Formats: sequence, structure tokens, C-alpha cells
Amino acid sequence: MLLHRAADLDMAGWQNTSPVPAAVQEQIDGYVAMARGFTPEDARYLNNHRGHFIFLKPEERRFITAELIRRTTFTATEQELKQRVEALRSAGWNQLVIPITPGEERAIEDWARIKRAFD
Amino acid sequence: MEFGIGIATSHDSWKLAQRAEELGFTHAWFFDTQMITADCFVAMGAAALKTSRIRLGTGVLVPSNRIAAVTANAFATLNAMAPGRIDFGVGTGFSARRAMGLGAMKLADMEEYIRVVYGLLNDETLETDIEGRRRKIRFLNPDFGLINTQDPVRLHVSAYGPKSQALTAKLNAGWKTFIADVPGAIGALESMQQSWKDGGRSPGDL
Repeated sequence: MLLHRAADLDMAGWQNTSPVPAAVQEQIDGYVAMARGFTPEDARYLNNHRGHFIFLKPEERRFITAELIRRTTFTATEQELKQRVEALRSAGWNQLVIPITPGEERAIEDWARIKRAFD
Repeated sequence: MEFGIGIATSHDSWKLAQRAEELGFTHAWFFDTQMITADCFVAMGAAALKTSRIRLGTGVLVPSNRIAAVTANAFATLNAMAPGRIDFGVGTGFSARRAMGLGAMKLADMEEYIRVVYGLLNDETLETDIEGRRRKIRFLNPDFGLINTQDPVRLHVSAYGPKSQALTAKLNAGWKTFIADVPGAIGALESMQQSWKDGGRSPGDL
């Protein structure tokens, strides 16, 4: 999502509501540069949003580094995730929604283990 | 803490909603991204028939995808299939609109859309603009058993900035947002709590 938002910003000036961590600026800049070559030229958003939230386009893979995942997603070990959820609950959050990507439905079983710690 | 799942809507999303219910998840939220995923209301209808406890919501519906009367009807139909288990999540649009080359819709237009949807769900006769003219509309047969306008459909607004957060408070709605880390999540919550307070709402109701 971060990459697609950054390319949107570059293409049309739409507001980027997600701040970009400096540590992943190189990946963001690389994706934006690639997106400038998307076709058709008058509708580059078509390629930009293909697969959005569904799958990773092959040409996107080189930008999805471990650092980018660590800094811009909720990905972590089970123990770390439980600590994060506890921190959210303590802060006053009352619901956590886990997006399940097509083809990765087994993730719901993993998240059920996290959930059980808070039942 | 409640746990829900976000579903990239598919023809067989009911399977995921069913499994989520078995595992004790409280909510299944269906993407409304017409250029990217399957239709949310069709998929929610199947899920409504295949589940009995989990709440089913749009996560989030984008008003410009359909006129308000059609959306109200879809929620009322779902509410007949899964009485009292339906949530109306709504936002100004990211994926659904950007995939068509559009930016987010105006917040005021979303507020008007919500007014019309809930007016119809409350069996009111209301006025709204349709094809350039002000017209009175209402559901004509809400008591005939075709749809359910009796059980409440909860409103949840996707809100990132202060204006949309203020609207969330004004409408006394549930609040939805994206988070990627704990500090960011806590900062977002503090911002929303301030908007909630500024809107005259009780902290415990957020």
C-alpha cells in the first residue's frame, strides 16, 4: 500500500496519508521511478493498483525488502505480536482487524492463536 | 479486545467468514473495491447464510460506488438474512477510487450519503438530490418482510485526519483506521479521542 500511495502521489498529487520512514525511502523512490514507466501513460494507475492488497506483482518484489516489511507492516513473531496487542488494548483499542490475503487464508489460524491469549 | 478479519472479497469469502466464526473472531469486514476484488454485497449475502454469530460489515464501502438508496436496500436485505449482525463501514475511498484514477470523494458528500442511507433504514420519507433534482424517497414496503429495517445497522467511519475524525464524533459512529505499528496506533487513537471529546462525546463510548 505504501508503494502504491507513493506512486499515486507522484502521478496525480493525491495526498499520501501514510508517512514514509526514512529507512525505506530508497525502496519507495525505486518503485515510484518504475511506476513512471507504467502504461498506458494516461492511465498509469491501472498498473499501479493491479494486485493491490491481493498479490505482489513480480516487478514489485525487489522493493519488498525485510526492512520495509519490518518498518511498515505489523509483521512479527507470535510473542512480539502478543506484546503489541496488549499495548494496543492497554491504550484503549477495542478491536483489531487482520486483513487476510487471498491464498494466505491459513494466516487466520495463526492469528487465532494470538487471539486466544486475549479471550 | 475483539478480533476481526478483513476480507479481500471473493466469490467464496463465506468460507473465510465461516472459519473466522468457528475460531471466535467477532467481525468479518469485506472490501468494497470493485476494480480489484469481488462484489461485497453478493459475498456478504453468502456469508450471512453460512454463519450465525459473526458480524458482517463493509470494510469499507465507498459511497460513489452506488447510489444511497441502493446501499440502504442492500443493508436492509442483508439485515433480513442476518438480523442484527450487519455493520456499515464507510470511507471516502482509496483503492476503489484510485484504481479508476480518482482521488478521495468529498467528506460532505459522504456525510449526505450516510444521512440518506440511515433515513431509509429508519423508514423515513426524506429529500435528496437524484439526477439533479430534489426528490422525496422512502422504502415503500418495509413491513412486508422483504427487508429488515427494524434491527440496527451500526455505522463505522474510516477516518485518518482531523476533519473525518470530527465527522465520526458528530455521527456518534464507530471509528476505523489502518495501523502498522504500536506508536502510530497510539498516536492515532489519541488524535481520535481528542476529536471525540471535542465533539461532546463521552470517552467511554468511543
